[in-house]
Amino acid sequence: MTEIIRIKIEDIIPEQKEVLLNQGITSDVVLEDKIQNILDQAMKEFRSLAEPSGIIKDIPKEDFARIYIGEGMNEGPTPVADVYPGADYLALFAVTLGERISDRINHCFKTNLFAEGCMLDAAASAGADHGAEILQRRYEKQLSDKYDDISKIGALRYSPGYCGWHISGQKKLFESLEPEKIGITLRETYLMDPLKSVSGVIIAGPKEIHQFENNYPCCEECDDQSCLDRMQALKNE
Amino acid sequence: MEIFNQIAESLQKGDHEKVAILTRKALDDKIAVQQILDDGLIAGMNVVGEDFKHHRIFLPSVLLAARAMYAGMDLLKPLMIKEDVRTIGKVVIGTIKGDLHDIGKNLVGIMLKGAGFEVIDLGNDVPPEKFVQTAKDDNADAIGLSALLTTTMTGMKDVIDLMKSEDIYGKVKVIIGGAPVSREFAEQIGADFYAFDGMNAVETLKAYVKDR
Repeated sequence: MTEIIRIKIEDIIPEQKEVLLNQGITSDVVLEDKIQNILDQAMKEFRSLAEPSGIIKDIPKEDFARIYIGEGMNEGPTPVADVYPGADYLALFAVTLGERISDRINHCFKTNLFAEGCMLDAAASAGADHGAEILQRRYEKQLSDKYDDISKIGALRYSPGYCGWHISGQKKLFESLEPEKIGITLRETYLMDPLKSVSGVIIAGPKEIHQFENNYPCCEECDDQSCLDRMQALKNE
Repeated sequence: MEIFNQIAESLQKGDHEKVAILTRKALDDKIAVQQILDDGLIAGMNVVGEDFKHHRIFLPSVLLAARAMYAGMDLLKPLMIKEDVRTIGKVVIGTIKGDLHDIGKNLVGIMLKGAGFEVIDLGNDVPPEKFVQTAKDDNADAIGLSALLTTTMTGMKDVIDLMKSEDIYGKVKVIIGGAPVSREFAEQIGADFYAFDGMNAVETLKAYVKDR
């Protein structure tokens, strides 16, 4: 079943500390007034420009296997390839903040408002992730009546372009999910418009399936250690 | 000269209006464009770069200073060609084909311009042919390649391979950066330089143009 979800802006507004951290500013830093003003303005623009919406679709494991293979460009063993066979349920998803916020970011950079553009970009990136998180939590809730003990179940998101899942995987993901219905289109090079969009698969099953050693070939080229945080967070839930 | 200090200090504060007024004043006082650029604007950005490097200031402050730098540059640019003022180097930058994440690349471009480089920004999702052709046509000193995705960073090697076949490899230097990229990866694909952040890219290319 495919479902289109209108997401409330209030539910995805990032915390100021997240926006700052995206720019390397930790919470112990005292902001100058002019920087605080830019942050306040970016948060205001986020609220007025973001048009969050999402789409989610249940997908059988065998269908996902075909989507994951994509255009045949995944490199060797990958975390996703090892995680999804253990899943009980899978859902494709996409979330977007809409065109207006991406247009505003571009406009800022074109008119030399670099700090303002960068601040809004950081807010929008965090906001798009929150949107994806909302879809994931909603999916988990829907699954709760299918399990006797939901506490042993974990759901995590994986996206083309990360963890060895080649970006070209977007093609088959889009063919199946049809996120065009919420205004997301795919470029020839497998990138999404609007820019502030997130797509991928939510994989749900026993928590253990998401635990892996990050020593895959793709991990060697990856500086992002957020997979470790995600796995730890899942263990602690 | 006092006006250079004033330009540099205003730039460090990110006061673009004051930088524009002072740059205009310097021009009205018949001060050479090259001197305003070197001793005022670039001198100011150098301090900003050092402050950022040592975590005394953060990215938004650098970007406010860059805006101020541009305010001054906008006034100098029309005169630079006339007076044959040379930039310290020319760099073609872009995000690799298949990658749309260009915020990091934008920041590198802003910082390079702030340091006195001419920057040709090809945008994001750029095919290898466009990097190589632009570098040839514009006689660039370097190509800067950026990627955020591990699955697109391999496209950097495609650019280098094409540079080899077009016989510009070695003549035009390649600097790479982006979250998944490392010094080892740079060596592996034959890139000349690796930059771990925007300011490091500026320092690396400044050292290269100075030493060549």
